[in-house]
Amino acid sequence: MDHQRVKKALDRQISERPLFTNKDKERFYKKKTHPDRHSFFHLPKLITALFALCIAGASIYVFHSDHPFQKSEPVNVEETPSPSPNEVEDISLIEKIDELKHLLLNVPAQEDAAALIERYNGIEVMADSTTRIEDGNELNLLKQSYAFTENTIDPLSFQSDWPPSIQSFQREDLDLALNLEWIDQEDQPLHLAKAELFYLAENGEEIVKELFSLYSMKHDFKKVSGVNQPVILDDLILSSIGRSLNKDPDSLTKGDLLELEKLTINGSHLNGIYDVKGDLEYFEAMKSLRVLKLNQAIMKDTVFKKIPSLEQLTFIGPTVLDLSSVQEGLQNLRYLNIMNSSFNGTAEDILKLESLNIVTLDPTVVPEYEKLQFEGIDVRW
Amino acid sequence: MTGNPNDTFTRDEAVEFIMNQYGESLKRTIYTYVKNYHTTDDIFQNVLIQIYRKWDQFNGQSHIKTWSVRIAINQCKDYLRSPLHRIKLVRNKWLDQKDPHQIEHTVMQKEQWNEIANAILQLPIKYREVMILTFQQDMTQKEIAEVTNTNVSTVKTRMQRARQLVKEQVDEGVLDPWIINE
Repeated sequence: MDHQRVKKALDRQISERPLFTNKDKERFYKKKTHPDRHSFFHLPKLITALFALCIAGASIYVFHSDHPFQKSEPVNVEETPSPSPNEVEDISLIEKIDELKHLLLNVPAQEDAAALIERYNGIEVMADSTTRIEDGNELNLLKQSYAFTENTIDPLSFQSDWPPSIQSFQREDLDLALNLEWIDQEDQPLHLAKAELFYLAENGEEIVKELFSLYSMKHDFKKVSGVNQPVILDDLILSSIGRSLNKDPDSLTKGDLLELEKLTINGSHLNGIYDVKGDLEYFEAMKSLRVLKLNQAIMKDTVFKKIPSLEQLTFIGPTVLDLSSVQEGLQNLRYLNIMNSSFNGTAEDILKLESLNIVTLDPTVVPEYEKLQFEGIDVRW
Repeated sequence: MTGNPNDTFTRDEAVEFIMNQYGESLKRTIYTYVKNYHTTDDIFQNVLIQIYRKWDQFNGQSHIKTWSVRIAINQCKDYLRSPLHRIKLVRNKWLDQKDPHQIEHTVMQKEQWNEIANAILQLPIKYREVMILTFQQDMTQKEIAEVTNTNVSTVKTRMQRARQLVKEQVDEGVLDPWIINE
């Protein structure tokens, strides 16, 4: 996606290597316990402060001249020991997950990822090369799966049970499963495209899945619990999701919903307008959904509010008049297409969507579209 | 993060969390303001110190990331306003001081996008920051307004002007970066 290309180009220009390293941490912890007295940024403030101190000191000297050199109380500098690295034996699952996530989010080299995985007793369960078409380009991908376990287990035993079942976690065969997907381009180092983590929830009754995708708007892991729960929604919604994910609609799980990035719900073959509804927990699990097209279908803003990453929305058909029924749930929307909708509102109605960058509309329906352009919105038709 | 984060995290935990979660993106944002790696390191340290000192004042009304970015932006602007910066500023040669490990890119399309990125990084601060916060920090215009202490309509106007300026700088025929694929 273009946003991602600009982002990647900016990242390349800034630096191809991580800027944040352990040196920053070490420097902070040193500075916290031994404040830097040579900070240039504070020079003017320091001079002013010293001047004020001199005056204050002189005043105190005058008024308390009985004890002019009385020793002051030492400054109470809070000292907290730095986090101790390399304590692999005692590291908790949460710390392990945090450290893996931190590495994976920061453009890791494959060797660095492999080293950390090995350090935490991760064993490779599977590795496979494949290709995928993304934005019209064929990508070579390297897929790797790892099980993290303190036990001596044959990696092959996981191959028929991957991602691992809840029983495997409950039996403590492993405490963490990791899938990595690397883009393998000629003459370039491997680049991490996707990472998935699976582990047992605190209640011990369900599996948590965390997902990072290079193509997502937010550069972070998205998380959902109860990944193996079947999805119970209307057939039309299930078949739409299944089509988008290229999966059997009847076997969709809550974990699958986390993967959903684009969705088209087409109710044009039905009589009337299709109301997209269901248990909100399923919509809440659609944390990667960023492109939605509703053809002869409508969602309430309570449903829109549950889809945090939605950035592009197209309405087709007689479903919206002035956006008032949905505007509250669309405050993070960046792109809106109402060209083929029943929208007959005003530019002010569109301006209520505060994050909007681009709108595609019929200029004969919204003749005062210049107001939108004046507010910095790219208007297209 | 919601609720009262400073009830959940101590100052040390908060700084550790922010370093782990947002350290890389904060440093990248700082770099786009100051365009110098050493200064980026220094300012980042000041940001961490500010976060450490101000943690008790953080009431959780904004997202912890938004709050951290705002502190970083304020530190950058303080630095850019400082006499020290003006003395050091000979010429904006950020293009010449790229990361020494940077790999040469020969693919034409990549170069075109690099050209757009260059144009963004050459913009005056008020236009550059709305582009950087949009594309590099993935912030909404509402969030940008919050961290830059402006209103949403100002952000929109600056965004529009920034786009015009970038388009003027980039050669004809370059892909339009604001086309969103449906």
